[in-house]
Amino acid sequence: MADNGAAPMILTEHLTKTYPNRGGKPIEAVKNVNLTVERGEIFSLLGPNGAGKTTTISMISGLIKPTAGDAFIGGHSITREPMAAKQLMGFVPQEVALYPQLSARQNLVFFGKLYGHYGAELQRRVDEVLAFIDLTDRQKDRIETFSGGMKRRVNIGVGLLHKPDLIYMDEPTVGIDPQNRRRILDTVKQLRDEQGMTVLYTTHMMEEAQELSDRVAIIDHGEIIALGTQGELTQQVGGQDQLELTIDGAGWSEELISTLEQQVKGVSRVQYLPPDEAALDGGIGLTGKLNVFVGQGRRALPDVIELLNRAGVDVQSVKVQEPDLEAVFLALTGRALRD
Amino acid sequence: MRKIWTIAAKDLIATYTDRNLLIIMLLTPLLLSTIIALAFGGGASGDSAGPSLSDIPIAIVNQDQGINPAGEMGSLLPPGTDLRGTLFDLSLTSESAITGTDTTTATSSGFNIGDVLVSILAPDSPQAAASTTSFSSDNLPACPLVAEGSDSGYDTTLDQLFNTTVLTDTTAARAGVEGGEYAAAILIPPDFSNRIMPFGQFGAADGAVAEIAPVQVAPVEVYANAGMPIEASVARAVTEGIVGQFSRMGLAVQGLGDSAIESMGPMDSEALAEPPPALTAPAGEWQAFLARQGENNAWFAALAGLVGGLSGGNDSAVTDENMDENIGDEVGGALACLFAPGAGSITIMREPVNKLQEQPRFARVMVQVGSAQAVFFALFTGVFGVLSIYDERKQWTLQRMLASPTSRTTVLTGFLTGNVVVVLAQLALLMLFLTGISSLILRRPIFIWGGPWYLLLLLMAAISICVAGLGVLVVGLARREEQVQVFGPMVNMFLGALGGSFGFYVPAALANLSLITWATDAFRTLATGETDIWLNLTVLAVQGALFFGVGVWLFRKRLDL
Ligand SMILES: Nc1ncnc2c1ncn2[C@@H]1O[C@H](COP(=O)(O)OP(=O)(O)OP(=O)(O)O)[C@@H](O)[C@H]1O
Ligand SMILES: [Mg+2]
Repeated sequence: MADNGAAPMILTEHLTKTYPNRGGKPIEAVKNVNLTVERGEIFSLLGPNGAGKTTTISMISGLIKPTAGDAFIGGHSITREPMAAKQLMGFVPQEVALYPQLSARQNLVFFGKLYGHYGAELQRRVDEVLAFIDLTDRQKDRIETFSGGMKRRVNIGVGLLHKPDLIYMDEPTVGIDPQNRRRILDTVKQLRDEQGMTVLYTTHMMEEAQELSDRVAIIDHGEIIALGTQGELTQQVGGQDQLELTIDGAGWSEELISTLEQQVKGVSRVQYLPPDEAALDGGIGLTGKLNVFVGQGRRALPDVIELLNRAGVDVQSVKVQEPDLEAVFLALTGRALRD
Repeated sequence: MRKIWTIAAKDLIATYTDRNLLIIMLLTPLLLSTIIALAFGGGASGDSAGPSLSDIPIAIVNQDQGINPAGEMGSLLPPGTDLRGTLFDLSLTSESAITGTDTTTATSSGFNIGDVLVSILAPDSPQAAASTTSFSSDNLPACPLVAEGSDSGYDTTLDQLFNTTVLTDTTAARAGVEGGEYAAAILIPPDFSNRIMPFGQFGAADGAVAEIAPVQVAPVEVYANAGMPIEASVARAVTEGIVGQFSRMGLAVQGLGDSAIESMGPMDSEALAEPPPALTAPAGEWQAFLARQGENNAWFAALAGLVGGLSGGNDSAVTDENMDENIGDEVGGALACLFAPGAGSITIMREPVNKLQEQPRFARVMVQVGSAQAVFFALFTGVFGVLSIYDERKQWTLQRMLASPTSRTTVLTGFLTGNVVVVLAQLALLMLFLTGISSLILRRPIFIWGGPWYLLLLLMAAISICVAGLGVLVVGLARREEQVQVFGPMVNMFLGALGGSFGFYVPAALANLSLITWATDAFRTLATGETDIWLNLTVLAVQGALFFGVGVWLFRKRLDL
């Protein structure tokens, strides 16, 4: 494979797509996107519906021509050397792109051949993939007889057949139950950890991006509005951690609020919910709830606990809630991700 | 190269593992061919090898309440339009209605397709004579079922095939069947006309057109006598054939309506270049009007052809004597046959004496009927096969192919090759099954297609290329998928009508426009033991190449995502 090992896995330069719009303003689906995806990372493209995720992936995978700009896969321009670029990547579209009348195996064999694999080698790869997606026993059944989760697994399997360096997954968990979703998220991590694949993952679900990604780009209205690790992004918008402590209400006194605010470094605000109010907030009615807002939660936690112990307050459980990408999106756009 | 075959083979597997497709592609043409061949190739000539069928006793009950097209269409037409006659009265009533001397009967009772069916199956009954549509076989052209050469001895007609009793009561009809009196009872439901004619489904309020439901297969019930299975199937096949033609007419009219409406919004006189003539105006005036509109709108041109054809059919019968007089009238006659197969006018001609004569009569008819049906059904495979690229785009398998290191040209070539191969396999299977069925019916192994095998293969290959090429052309011409759904079948019906797939024949000058004519002619030649089909092969191959060339050029851009 003519892969220039030094080049980043994906590099986009001013990638832009404008759709003509009869009688209206042209739709700028993707505007000037500049991204670098390094080898071996899971990179998520997070954005609400219609943000331009699929359009971006379609340009990077050579399905549609960019209006301007270019994308390089392992150093190969997708517009000028499409065959070399495409050989490096696997493609898992948002839709279940399989032939419903054909069996799982027939689908895998068909697409495997399009990647240039034939004969015994192809059959071996198909067997491997079927084992990986745990569908060896259903391989002869037609896709149309499969459940949604099984179809999704085959959909991913097809993308893995030729052992690509890079795999695109466009919202691979849409419309399936939690177990199957869990399974797919684990698969994605496995691909990175065990096979060293680079994954470009799009989703509109913050939790998925959070759990999977090494780095995240947040896209809205065709533009990348933030890019970095999750920590970098939350720092960028000045996010604060929240310590949620469940305490025995018996030892509590209101003075502790000001003590905490003054003596623990970084604490900006403390809030106490007595047992009756905490019950409304999901407590069991015997314990109170203490919320401490602080810059770096994990660092402040020991101090907070020690202080409470000294005051004779019994801490029963602790949770550190770090600011999430939802908060980042809200801060940047003024909208919730799920609008 | 290898990938092209991979893609083609995938299409072949996907098509031939789809049970519903197989029913349409194989089972239907086989059943149709067999039944028609049984009905007309069996007995009348005294051929002992086949079953003899004539004077099958059937009963018919017409409960159809008809429709009143004047009322239904009123909302579509400019206010003040005289609605005493309608396009449909024009097309299906006799001369007198057109000239306006006898419009009262037609308008007062609206339009009743059930009556038409009765008058076809029971032409001599008083009920048929009283039919409001004054459907008289005198006005209809002769529609020969099988025509060969110029020798014209007629020997089987629909008239002789059935002995029809018209009843008014369904219970009595069913009892008659159960008592063994009739081979089948044909029961026409009250909403028959309404379900066939799309005008029943136009919304009224503001002249806008509501969602138009697809024309349904009209539910004529054929109550069959289990003790007379062959006779009952013939009755069913003939009934379904006629009803099928009605439905096609409904579909065609709906297609015209849809497209006209789509392209110009509600039909108001301002949108037309000139006000339309009164509906009672002579057909000629309408034809001229529509032809002028047709300069701007293709559908009007098609409609003009239809009106011209139908009115032509009313006053000029296609007979041996006037065959060459007037081409326009000939088409008219043919179309009138298509839309209104006439009582006593479905006939079968005697073949010229040649080597074919050595084959049993059933086999001879089977070659003719079977090949015409096979190619006709292949036309649909051709169009809908190409259309499936839209499905592939919707289900993202097209994108998945294009995301692999496979060029657009390879994907397109593979896809089109697949379509040719699917059609070729369909033809080959139909030919095999037809000869198998013939062997079963004649109770001895017989290969009805003659030979040699390489010419048969070459012929089927040429037909496949031609058929698949036509598919690409049709899909390439249409701007959107929905247009193909209407336009594709219309083109196919037209070629089928010209090519003899509906059991009537048009003069050679016209018939030769249809690839089906060239195909059936070649099959018949081979079946008679001759081998000179080079002209046919050339015509088919050249047509195919042209269709493909223009079609692919138009179609290429449909691969854009
Ligand atoms: N072929 C097209 N023609 C015109 N506009 C298009 C086309 N494809 C996409 N768009 C528009 O481009 C924008 C981005 O669409 P895209 O499918 O990339 O969004 P997405 O982020 O993948 O959304 P989703 O989460 O719903 O899949 C949308 O406004 C969409 O309407
Ligand atoms: Mg999308």
